[in-house]
Amino acid sequence: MTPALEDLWISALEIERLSGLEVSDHILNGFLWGAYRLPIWSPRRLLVVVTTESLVLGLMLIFATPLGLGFSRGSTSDHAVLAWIGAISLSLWIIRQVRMWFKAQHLRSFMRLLDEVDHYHQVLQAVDLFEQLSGAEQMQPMLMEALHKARESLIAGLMTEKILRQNHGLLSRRQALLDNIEQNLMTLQSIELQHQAQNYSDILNQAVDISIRVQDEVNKLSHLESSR
Amino acid sequence: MNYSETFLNLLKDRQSFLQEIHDGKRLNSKISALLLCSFCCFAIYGSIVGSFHSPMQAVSSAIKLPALYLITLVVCLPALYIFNALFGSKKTLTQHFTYVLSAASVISILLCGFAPITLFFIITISPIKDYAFYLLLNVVIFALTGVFGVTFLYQAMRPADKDSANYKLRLTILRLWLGLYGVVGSQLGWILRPFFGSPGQFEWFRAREGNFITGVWNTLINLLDGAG
Repeated sequence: MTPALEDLWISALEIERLSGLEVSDHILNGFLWGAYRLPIWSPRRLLVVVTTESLVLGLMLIFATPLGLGFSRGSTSDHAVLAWIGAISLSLWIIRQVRMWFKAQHLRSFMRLLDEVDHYHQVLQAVDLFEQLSGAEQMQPMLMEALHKARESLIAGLMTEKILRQNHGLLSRRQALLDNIEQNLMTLQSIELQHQAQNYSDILNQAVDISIRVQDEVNKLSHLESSR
Repeated sequence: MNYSETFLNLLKDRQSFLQEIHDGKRLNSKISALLLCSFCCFAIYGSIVGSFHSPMQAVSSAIKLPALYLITLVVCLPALYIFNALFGSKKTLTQHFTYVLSAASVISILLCGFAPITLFFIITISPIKDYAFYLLLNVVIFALTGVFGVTFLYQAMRPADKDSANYKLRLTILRLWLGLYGVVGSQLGWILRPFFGSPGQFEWFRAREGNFITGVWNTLINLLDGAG
């Protein structure tokens, strides 16, 4: 990837700094206190969830062992001990599932924004490929500006989501960030109009789509917070 | 970053890994990765150790060995954190947990490294005649890996500032805590036994009588009586 495109990439560390959450492809904030990224139905993500949850059940089993031994203190039967251990670990696992479900609902907007970041990265890769195939030495300034604006919108979206998540609205910065996203969207739409006849129109379309979805998500979040 | 990548970072680039814990970076992901990977490694070695007796003992030891190490760690952690905090440590409980979990993970991966050797002896020795030799072999392996794990923890958690007023005191606390970890681990091992499964019928747990010190004492008396 060219240095110019690399600069546009939003790294995992940057997302973590902006959102305050540890991000990976499938899990947010680690499996202990976090949640799986939604939807979990893609084959790869489902495999990760099933494998992780099987191991977590194993972990619950071992942490339930001393409790099971404690509860079955009077009993001499191994079966009583095993039944206690099984019941405790299963209860802990069910409690964990419920907690994770609530956590996932709480982070739903953030997950949608992360999907947009992934989409934005795919666009960057497509641009890189396009540039390599065309053999152009330098990218068109308008295209760079469009990608830059899409990046700014995503960053503003991630920041807004964090502020709203952590402070539950009523913050003066919120309006400034919303204005920023709207301004970026307008710029992107004007660039798109200028380049409709060129090869880059698809890429620009995608950049506009990303920004529109970020704006929709932030608006949804904003209305949700206002109605609370 | 996925689990195995984090786990490998601990082995390959220990200094950076420890520095990240020191700086409080990605602690949730680290804890998740270390917990799952150390659980898997302990379970693999446990199942190999138990397979000397029977398949049921292999299942039992695959649960008991991770339980022994990880529960001991959780039981002893508050003491280490509170005493360190009392005498000037600025590290959080999560940081303490990540440090001790890293040490347990080092032990687990070392045990996995010895797994082929143990497996080799399981295949080549007699389960009944060579039980004492097999026991001794594993005692040596557990002692060796334990020494490496403890050394790792000691070096990682040693107070950085040698000029601070409580440097010596905190070093003593760490040493005492390592002793405490050994005592708690021994007692838990006593409760969870058998791990190897002495020749005869399989049993999940042995009768809970006395503690590990009285157990060791009785064994010594029996040994001396037999010699006399």
